[in-house]
Amino acid sequence: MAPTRAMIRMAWTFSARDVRLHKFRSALTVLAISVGVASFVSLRLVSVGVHAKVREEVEQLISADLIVYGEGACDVPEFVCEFVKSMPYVEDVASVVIVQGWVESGWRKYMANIIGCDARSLRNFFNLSVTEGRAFSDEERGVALINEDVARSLGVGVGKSVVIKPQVVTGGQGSYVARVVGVVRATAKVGGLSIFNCCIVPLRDAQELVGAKGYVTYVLVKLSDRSCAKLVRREIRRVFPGALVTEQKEILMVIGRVVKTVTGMIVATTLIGVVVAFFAVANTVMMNVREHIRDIGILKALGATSRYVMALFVLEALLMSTVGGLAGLALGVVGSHALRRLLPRLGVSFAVPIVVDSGTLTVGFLLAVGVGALASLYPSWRASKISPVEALRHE
Amino acid sequence: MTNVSKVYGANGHAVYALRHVSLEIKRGELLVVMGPSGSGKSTLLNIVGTLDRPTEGEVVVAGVRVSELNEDALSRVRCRTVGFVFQFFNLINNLTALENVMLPMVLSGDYTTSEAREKARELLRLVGLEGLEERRPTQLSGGQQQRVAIARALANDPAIVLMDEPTGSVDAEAASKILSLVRWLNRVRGHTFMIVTHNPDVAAIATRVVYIRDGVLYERPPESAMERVKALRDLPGARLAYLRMLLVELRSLLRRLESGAIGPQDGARELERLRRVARELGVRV
Repeated sequence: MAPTRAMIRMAWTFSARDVRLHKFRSALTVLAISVGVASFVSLRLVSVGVHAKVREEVEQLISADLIVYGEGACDVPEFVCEFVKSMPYVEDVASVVIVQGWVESGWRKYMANIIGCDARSLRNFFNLSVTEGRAFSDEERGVALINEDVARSLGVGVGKSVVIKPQVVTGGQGSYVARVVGVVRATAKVGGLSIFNCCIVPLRDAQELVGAKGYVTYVLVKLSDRSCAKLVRREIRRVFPGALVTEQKEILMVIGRVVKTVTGMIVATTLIGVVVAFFAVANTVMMNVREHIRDIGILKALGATSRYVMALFVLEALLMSTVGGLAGLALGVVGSHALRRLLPRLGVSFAVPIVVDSGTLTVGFLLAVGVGALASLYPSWRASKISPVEALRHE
Repeated sequence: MTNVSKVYGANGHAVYALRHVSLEIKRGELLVVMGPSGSGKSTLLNIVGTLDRPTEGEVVVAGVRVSELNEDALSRVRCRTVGFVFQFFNLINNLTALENVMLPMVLSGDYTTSEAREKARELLRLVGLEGLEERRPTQLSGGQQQRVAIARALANDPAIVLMDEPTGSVDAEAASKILSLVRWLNRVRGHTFMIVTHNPDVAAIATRVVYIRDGVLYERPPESAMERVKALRDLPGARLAYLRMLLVELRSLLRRLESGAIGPQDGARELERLRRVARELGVRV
């Protein structure tokens, strides 16, 4: 017999009153579900943001058609740059040192990419927008350009001094003091490669800082004809067999794959919370069944079918998981914004955009409802199989 | 029900709750099944009400042979043809008095919520609980709860209402009200009742009384002397006292036979009775 509206309404009354009657227990179950869903939603939103940001930035790799680099952190000789510049189809070349490091002012410090380049590369390869002060010239030393995030976090502006330190000291002077001559927009594009939270210094200063005079991290190459990328790459590899040369397309693919793997793993860890929520719901439903054994006997004596008895307990679990799911979505969105603020302090050197997408919210909600339904199935099924005579004898 | 037995346990530890019981309850009857605790009366009630299945025999409720039905089909039969009233009321505490009465109607699928509510109000008025519809069972007295249970049992106009010690958990005044109500429902409204009890006051309202002892159903009360003897056997010192009384009775019988106060035929019958009692007391005769 199909359930009538009156049956559904009665089941709803029974389940809703039971949730209200056991406020504390129900609240804890709802909390377990909401925390599970919130952790999933917040990390998923942040992951989607990271993915979107990285993808957006990588897709803008237009000016550096080839990137030449070595196996170490800063081990490409500068003469490679001169050689590549002389090759056919090469339009422009830039030598760049990029290392992770700290920019400090007083007790404040901020993690940023320390970029070393000459004034010509700064003009031709750096897509800079100087909002305050000016760029530096080839003659200047001990100067720096910092981006807006770094300036704001450190509370420094043009004319102030900052201490620049590489994250890993491998030689060289270890740190030095530079004068800020300009502030640039949040993101700098170095040869098309987006660099967030950067501090740009003259090439020689960067080389001395890391103790690699005459060496650079990357040689960025712009081609006059992109279809010749493979030809130029082969030629560079022939002359410098130890050099690694990457095309723009490959970078896009590799970065996309890495980001996907990392974000996938992060989101997978949130499933632990969902598993905890599963057991919390199952435990609550089992306790409800135990408390209602006599009621199950009464209902069966009055003509309730096994399916109806089962539905009562599943409905109660669904009620809690729906509330928990909705609360989890709200908590997750708030949590993702909190996480976004926390990430720079954990070493992530770019601002993660949070886009609340309906897909994540739908998956989060379905996860909550699915957990509620699945976790309640077994105890509810057991409840439906209790013999009415035994249930009525239960004290 | 025909030749119904119910056995618990197995392999040498079998306990008979019912032994070859045959019983027919006619429409409009108020049948009271009297019996002490453990005599099998609740098992009988559960089998008639399709809550339990017999080990052997056949049960027919309102023309439906229920022995062969599956659980869900039994639920449907129960819903429409059987009403239950239990000793401990067995109302659902999550629901109000009104909702408890609505429940069988809702479960039958024959009523909308508003129809069930309207009929439930009338039933509560019938049992004298007007104004208490929205109270939870915990907010009602024992007698009131039992009247809610009676209203609930009548909700689907069942072919039979089964009551298990309906006055067992209420005070004398409430018990009297409940019995009056049951009698009125039977005599005036024509509802069929089967009540199992050990309370003789309940038997007073019956149209028929049957007795149950050790799972066996009797149309008349089993021999009371035998019952007393059985009970006395379990009391320390009582067996000896009873044996002495037996000797007195034997001496008296012999004296009356010698004096010719009773004839040899009556004397033989009386002697046989004493012999049976002696056997019951564990004396080899």
